[in-house]
Amino acid sequence: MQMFLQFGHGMMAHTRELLRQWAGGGVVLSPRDLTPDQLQRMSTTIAAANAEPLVDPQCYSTGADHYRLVTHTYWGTVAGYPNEVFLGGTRTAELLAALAVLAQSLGIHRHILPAPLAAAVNDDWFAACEAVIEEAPHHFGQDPLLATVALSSDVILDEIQVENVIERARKWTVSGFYVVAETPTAYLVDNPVWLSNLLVLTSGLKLLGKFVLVGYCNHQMLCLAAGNIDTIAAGTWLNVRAFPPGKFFTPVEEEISRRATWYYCPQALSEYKLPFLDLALTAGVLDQMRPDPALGSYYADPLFQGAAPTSVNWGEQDAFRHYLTCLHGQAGGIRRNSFRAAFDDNMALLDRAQAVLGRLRSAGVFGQDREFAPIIDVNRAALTRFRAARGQQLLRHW
Amino acid sequence: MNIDDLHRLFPECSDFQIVRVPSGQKDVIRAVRDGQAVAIKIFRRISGDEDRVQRELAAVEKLRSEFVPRVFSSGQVTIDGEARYFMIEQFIDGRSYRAILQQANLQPLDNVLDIGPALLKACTDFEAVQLVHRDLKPENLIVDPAGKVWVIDFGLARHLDLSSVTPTGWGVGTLGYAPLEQLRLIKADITSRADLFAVGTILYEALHGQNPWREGMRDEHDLIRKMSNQELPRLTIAGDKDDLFSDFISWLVQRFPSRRPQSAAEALEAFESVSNAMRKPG
Repeated sequence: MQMFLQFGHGMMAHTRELLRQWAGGGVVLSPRDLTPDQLQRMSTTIAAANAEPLVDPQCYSTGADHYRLVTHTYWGTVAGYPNEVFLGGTRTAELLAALAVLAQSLGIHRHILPAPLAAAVNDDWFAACEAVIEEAPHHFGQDPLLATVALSSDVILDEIQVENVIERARKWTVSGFYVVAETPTAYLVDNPVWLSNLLVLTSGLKLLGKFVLVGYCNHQMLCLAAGNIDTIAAGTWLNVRAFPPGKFFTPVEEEISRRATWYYCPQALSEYKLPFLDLALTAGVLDQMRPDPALGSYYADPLFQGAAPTSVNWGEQDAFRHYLTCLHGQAGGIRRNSFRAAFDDNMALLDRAQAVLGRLRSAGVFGQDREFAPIIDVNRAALTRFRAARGQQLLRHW
Repeated sequence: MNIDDLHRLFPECSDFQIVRVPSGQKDVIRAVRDGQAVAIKIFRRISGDEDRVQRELAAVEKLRSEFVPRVFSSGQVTIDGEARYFMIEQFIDGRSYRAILQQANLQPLDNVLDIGPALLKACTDFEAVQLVHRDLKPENLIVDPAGKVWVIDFGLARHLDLSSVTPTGWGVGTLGYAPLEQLRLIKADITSRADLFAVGTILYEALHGQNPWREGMRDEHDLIRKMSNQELPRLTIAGDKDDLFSDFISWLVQRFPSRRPQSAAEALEAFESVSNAMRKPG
């Protein structure tokens, strides 16, 4: 499974560095976090790094008013005609025309189509999505199109609505889907029904023979590899590792007020504040928290040189790059040759995390609210339910 | 209606024998036509759009399946001043699968492995002409003296046989065999996958001893609630190597069509693979 970057606040330098390290990949650019000029420069940078720029139009709510989002030309149509822009006809055409102009200026050749966030999957929501899909070829020609499937957490929790999306999407003339799923929690999800249904949704869309990109992911979503989806996208701050629809309204850069540096231990699927790494050093278990070199991250090397981690000059820049590099490596490391392999690898990941967490906890090393221990059974349960729902299909169609 | 009426209405047939039908919604007469035994089915009432019924009659007449009685002709006749649809089809002598289940409600695995491909091949034949049976159930399966399974009451049943119409407010099909998308009349979702659900339920019932959806349910609302919220527990079948067959049945009876085999052809291919693996020695 591939991993793209989900662009968020302050990610320009990270993007340049990581794409250089990874020698390619993709970035889902965010108009909410970039001015028009910055969007232009980032797109050029991404293409120069042999990676693919995509733009998420972020039309989840036509009433959104984030100060940076509204500076983009295409948003003029959304703001001016919030009740018409998804009705088909003139305003939908205007929006898509503006997005097409933007795409051309950015050198983008695969297009994420705008769609509203579904508070409920009903005829109105389908009509909105389909109005865009029907109009899109007039503006994007033969370029591949990704239909946005943006669902509230209430929808994801309802199997019937999830299945309705899959059945309806059969008829959509697009080459793939960009799935954005609102989480019921701020970060890691503790509801196995939500996760199981997300697996059913994304795998169901993949079984339609199309490309599937799931945005706003974190390490909990590594399990989506069991559904054979193509790509997840993840970013630095929590608001690009989980989808909070409210962020398109918030004018204040809330990330500044909640800064803390977290070290991601990939084998534990957990993040730790640096004082706990000091404790791990004292307890003689710090080495068990060292990442596997095969994941390709050297950003955390300073923490394992023998000095107390809190005494080392290691900040959020390193932490973010380390997290994303490890996640990139973990996503790519899950076998893709069969459903059994992908499923077994996911279960093995959870088993290993449980073992590592057990040893760390017995030494007094805890991840607090970013520890994966309470989430392990959530993922296990979701994967087990998912296998019952889709296993037979995926054994045969992979 | 008497024998003279039958001679007048169906001059090409002879040797009429009226067969009693428990549902009471249609008259079934055994007769001879061109030296072959035929069944003349005359339906009491119709529901639904007449044009659509006639289109389906035409489509069913074109169906060629070794598991479905051949339809020779169809149309309308007037009996006692009332217009009634009729169908003349190949007569199949035998016992209904329901009668077989009533005699021995737990069927041996080998017998079920024999009935499975017949049902799935019939479904692929329907699929080939874009038809959906919509009322597969043990009552609509006849096992002839040679042990061959036939699917009867195809297509028309939902319009012409009111015993197949569920209580007011629900779609067409038989509760306990029709999937949710059919009961809820979600037309776009009613494809061959609906028939596959029914096939899976019949196989499950044969191995389990009772209809798994109806089991323990007080009324139709209970049943619908169960179908909406629960999956059937996976069967434990003696002789089922690595749970291959129980997994296959679980696949057919998935609540949602997107989770079942996406075509009868796919289901048949999977069944054959499972069956071969199970019949291998060792």
